[in-house]
Amino acid sequence: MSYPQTRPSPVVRGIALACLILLLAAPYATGEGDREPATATAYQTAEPIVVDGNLVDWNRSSPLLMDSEAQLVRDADYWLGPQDLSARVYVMWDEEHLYLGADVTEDTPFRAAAMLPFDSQDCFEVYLSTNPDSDPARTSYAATDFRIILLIDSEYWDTAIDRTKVEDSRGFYSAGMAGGQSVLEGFQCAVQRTTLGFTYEAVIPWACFSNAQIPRLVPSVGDAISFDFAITDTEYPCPGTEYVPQMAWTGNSTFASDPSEWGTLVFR
Amino acid sequence: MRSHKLLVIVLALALALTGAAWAAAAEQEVSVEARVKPILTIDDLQFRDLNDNGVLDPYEDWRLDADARIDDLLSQMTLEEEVGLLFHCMSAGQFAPTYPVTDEFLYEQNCPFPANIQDGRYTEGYSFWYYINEFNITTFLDDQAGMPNELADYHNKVQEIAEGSRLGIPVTFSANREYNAWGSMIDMPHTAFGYANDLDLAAELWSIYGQEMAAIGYHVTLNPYGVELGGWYGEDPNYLAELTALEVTNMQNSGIETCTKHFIARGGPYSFSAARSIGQIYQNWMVPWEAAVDAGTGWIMTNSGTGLTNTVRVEYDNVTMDYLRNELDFDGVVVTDWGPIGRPTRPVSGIAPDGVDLATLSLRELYTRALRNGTDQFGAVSVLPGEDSSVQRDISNFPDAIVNAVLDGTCDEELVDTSARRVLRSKFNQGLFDNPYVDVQAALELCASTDYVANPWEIVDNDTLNAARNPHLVALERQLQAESTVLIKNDGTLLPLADGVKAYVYATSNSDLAADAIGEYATIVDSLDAADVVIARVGTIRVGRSSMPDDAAVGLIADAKAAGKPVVIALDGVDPDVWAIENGDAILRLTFSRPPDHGETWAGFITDVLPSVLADMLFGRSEPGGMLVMEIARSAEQKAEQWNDLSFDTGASDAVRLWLMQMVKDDPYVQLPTNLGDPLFTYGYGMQYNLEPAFAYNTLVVPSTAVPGESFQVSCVLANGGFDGYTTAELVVDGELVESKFMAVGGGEFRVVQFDTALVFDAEGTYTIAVGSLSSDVVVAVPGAE
Repeated sequence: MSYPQTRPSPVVRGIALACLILLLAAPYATGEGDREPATATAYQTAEPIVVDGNLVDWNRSSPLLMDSEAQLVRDADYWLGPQDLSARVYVMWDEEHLYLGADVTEDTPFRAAAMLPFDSQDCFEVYLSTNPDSDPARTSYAATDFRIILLIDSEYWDTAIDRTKVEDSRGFYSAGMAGGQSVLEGFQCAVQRTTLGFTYEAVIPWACFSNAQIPRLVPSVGDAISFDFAITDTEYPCPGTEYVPQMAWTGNSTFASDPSEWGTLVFR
Repeated sequence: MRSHKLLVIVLALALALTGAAWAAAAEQEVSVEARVKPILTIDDLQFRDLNDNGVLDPYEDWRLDADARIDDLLSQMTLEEEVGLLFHCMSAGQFAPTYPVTDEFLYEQNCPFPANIQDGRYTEGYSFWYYINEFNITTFLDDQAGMPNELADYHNKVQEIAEGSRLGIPVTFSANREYNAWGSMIDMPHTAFGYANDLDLAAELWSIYGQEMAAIGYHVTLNPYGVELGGWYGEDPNYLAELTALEVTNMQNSGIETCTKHFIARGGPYSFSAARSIGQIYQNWMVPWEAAVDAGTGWIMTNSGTGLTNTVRVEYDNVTMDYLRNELDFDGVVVTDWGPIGRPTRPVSGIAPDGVDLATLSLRELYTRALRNGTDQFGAVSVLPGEDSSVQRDISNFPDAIVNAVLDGTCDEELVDTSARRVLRSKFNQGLFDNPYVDVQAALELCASTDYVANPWEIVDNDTLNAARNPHLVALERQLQAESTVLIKNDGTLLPLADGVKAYVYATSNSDLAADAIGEYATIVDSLDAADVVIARVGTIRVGRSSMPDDAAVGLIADAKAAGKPVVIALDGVDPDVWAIENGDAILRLTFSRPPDHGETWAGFITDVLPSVLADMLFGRSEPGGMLVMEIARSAEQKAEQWNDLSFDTGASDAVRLWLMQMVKDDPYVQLPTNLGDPLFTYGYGMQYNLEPAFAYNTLVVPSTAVPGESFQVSCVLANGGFDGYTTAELVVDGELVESKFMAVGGGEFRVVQFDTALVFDAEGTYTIAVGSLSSDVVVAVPGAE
């Protein structure tokens, strides 16, 4: 039995570049409706980062923290606390790649089933703009805004891009939203189990967010883009599962459709 | 290891499946096989000495009826062993398949152990040995991965462990999947059966699925699933009942018991509480449940939502459970949905119909209440020792709570006996106490093609999978894929397409495969300009908790329409909407889908209509034969207004809804009319190639007079004397088109055309209003004026 060719083989895949480290977090306010968009720093990496799920070569001094009840954007009553779901997420970059690292506390990790929509399965969601000049106060998606879904099943690592909220698509449409696909060319990820959950590393080429009409982002030090990160945590991926908590770095329950609620990622 | 087989005389299986008593007598044929414990030979008859005492105990004697055997077994069991029967865990306490099943997961006695699930992914491991011997668990939910022979072999190994336990109680394996012979690659295509409306085909498929499941060592399938209105088989309670009964009967006659779920509905958006309208209708929801019970379903699973009283979870709702046990007279095994005890932030709560506040109950009292209401088994991923439910390992149950509830008098031991008896009866009825083993080679030969059996190959995609499977089953499934496809629209008899046409092909998934298959009949072109026709297979895009058409397809189709190209849209699991109607010259609604349910180890196989089957339909080698089993609303607003506990009311007025409701309450089995609402598509709609509708309008309703400035609306009857089809009703005033309304009407049926436009005439005069061939004048004048 072999794995389908369209899927990356499990776990440790690939090598990437070096390390510099990154970023971070800024405070997020509390309470639905009054949270201030956060700011974080993504540090440029000069050395290859080994994508093996081990974050030892990352600068973890200032993570995007997700550990408070105020960051629950869905089904908050069903969040058991930080031991149920919390995370520290790190972002790095070079001219070709976006790097994501995460140290996740999760009591029921890697819960996924093919028959369910993404947001009823364990997954990461990355919200980003590839246009540093976009108005951060915009309330609808620009052509350069992307929602990226990374399935966290420790098996297939499906990826998808959601462009359904983008009115001016410029020929860049959703991909992989039916599940079962890997649509980010050059994407690599790896995971390692920890006592309380897992650590995760991924590399995504910036080219994944470009086409003939949407230029590829080539970050420069000092640039800032709209950015957000969310984690979905299901205990039991079963049809009819009613409550699946979701936690976002910043923004309210409408963050997924309103880029003004996203934070700011500054490239250093 | 010893293996013995004894032939005596006939019967067993049929009796077992009907739940009848195990008939006594040496003239029955019973296969006996022991691999761990001794065989006793008495009067040339053979028996398993399951407790290894050298004596034939009544529970080991297959000549006795099941109740006599159960009485004896219960008398030999400790309380802890009995309580173990009341829990249903996932295999080795793991949510996901543990393929390949290692010796550690089978035999490790020092638990928990650090289990390497996959590629360095470690978890806390408990072996089957530990579950069976330490936790006394002998019912496992087993969504396992593997080839048929691997599954059969693994099931046998677990049965050997069970045989080696103190009393040798065999394991019952259940599966979320109704078809897991090729574990985790595919499941049964649940929804397709409703759309296909081919009961003979359904019966044959269910029979084969049941045979294959039984052959590899499964005993219970957690299906039929979605028995509620709006579930997999649609919204007509009588049709739901017919299919449910057929499914139960054919699966059970094939050797595998059904666990119909979830009583009384699925959870989440499909929960009964979410479906309930102000009408509080439940009578129609019980029609398929009654059918399941009457058909003899061995098991029923309660759901995690509320029941008839809309108060608390079903297992704690004394009224709903009483309805199941006494009104429906169900005497099989009732198992809860997974995780009934809840977690610290998900405590069991609510005021039950008898006034008990569940939040005040202890763990022991909660289990006791559920047992007293008629629950037999508690489902969860695992069990844990002790009673501290705040210390959860995944979703766990706590058998010690029931043991201690009996010891401290909270729980009458008779409750435990009653439920244990039902669980044991299922095992006895399936002959597991006499031979729980399956023939590995025979299982493979039943499930696989002769070529695969002779020389197995690596399965990497749909082609290699289907070539390995039973070719008759594969052929039947191809038939079902076509029969469950609904032809929604076909302008100018665009379909079937002519061979050799130049086609531009797009598919949300597996676009290359789609093009290859269509290329068997057409010339594939790579630009819209070069195409005679554009074929777009539009997949389900799931955004949030709803589905919508793939936006890339939307963009492509807009370009195709702008270029004047005819467009064929094949909607994969997406209901046709106004966008599809406006942009597709021909529309197919594909309904066959069977992704494996719950944890998987392999994925990537095509689980919906095969590209070659779609190509065959597009080019007339086969025909789409399905019907819609759910009304399709004209808009999200119209859908939201529908009462989900009532059938056929989409777009209906409240007065009509009340009328339908009362009909249901007076007679839950009444066949409600399907043409009283105003949906985009009515229940049962589905066109056929080359069969045309024959529309005729009658009875145009307009006022003969009107006052300037006052509005009125227009309606008429649209009758279809031909076959299922559609037209556009046009409201014309003095020759000017005012409104167009898409109307799909079943053959031999009629619908009332209700135009939305409120006509208002400010100037006095006579206006001619026309719909189709009908017309009528309305005189607009100020009252009293000359």
